[in-house]
Amino acid sequence: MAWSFEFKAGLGWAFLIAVLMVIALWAQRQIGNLLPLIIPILAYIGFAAWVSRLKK
Amino acid sequence: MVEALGVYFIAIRWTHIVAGITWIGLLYYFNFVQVPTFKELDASTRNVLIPRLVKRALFWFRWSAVATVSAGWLYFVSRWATDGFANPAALDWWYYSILAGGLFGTFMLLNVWGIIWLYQKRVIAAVEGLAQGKAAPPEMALWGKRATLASRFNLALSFPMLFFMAAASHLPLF
Repeated sequence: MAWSFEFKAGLGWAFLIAVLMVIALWAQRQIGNLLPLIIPILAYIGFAAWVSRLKK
Repeated sequence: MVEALGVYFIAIRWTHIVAGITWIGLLYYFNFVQVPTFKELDASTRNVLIPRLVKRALFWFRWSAVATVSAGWLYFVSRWATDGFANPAALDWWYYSILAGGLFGTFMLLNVWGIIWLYQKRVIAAVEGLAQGKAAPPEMALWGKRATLASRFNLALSFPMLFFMAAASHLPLF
C-alpha cells in the first residue's frame, strides 16, 4: 500500500479521533455522564468538513 | 428453555456480525486489493470494471454498513432498556466500550454514505458517460481523492473500532 497523502491523512485523522475517544471514555468515568463523547464527535465533524473542502 | 428476549438479542447480534463481516470485508478488499490493482491497470480496463465490479461491490458495501450500524444501535438501546435506562454513572465497562466502538462505526457509516458513495457515484456516472462519448469532468480526480481519503480513514478506524467491540465483552476494565 502506497504511503500516499490519502493514506497519511486518513491514518492521522483516525488516530486523532481514536485518542480523543480514549480520553472521552476516561472523562466519562470521572464525571459520571456521557457528555465527553462530544469531543470525538466534534473531531469527526472536523474531518468531514476538511475532506469536503479539499480543492486539489 | 430459551426465552423470547434471548432470541431477540441473538437475532440482532447475528445480523450485526454477518452484516459487519460483509462491510469490513469489502472495506479491506477495496483498500488492500482493489485500489493497488487499479493503479496497475490502464484507463480503458478500469473503465470496464468501474461500472460493473466497483458498482456492485459498493452496493453491498454501503447497504451492509447500514445494516451493521442499525443492528448495533438497536442492540445497544434494547440492552440499555432491559437495564431500565440506568444513569451512565451506574453503567459498567460493556456500555462504555461498546459505545466507543459504536461511535467509531457510526463515523465510518457517515463516511460511507456522505463521502465515499457521494463521490464514487459521480465517478461511476462519469465513466458510464465516457462510454456514451461524453467528456470526463475535470473534478473527477478530486472526487476519487476525497473518496479514497475517507476509505483510508475507515480502514484505520476499523482497528480501534473492532478492539472496543471485542473489549466490551473480553477485556472488562471495570
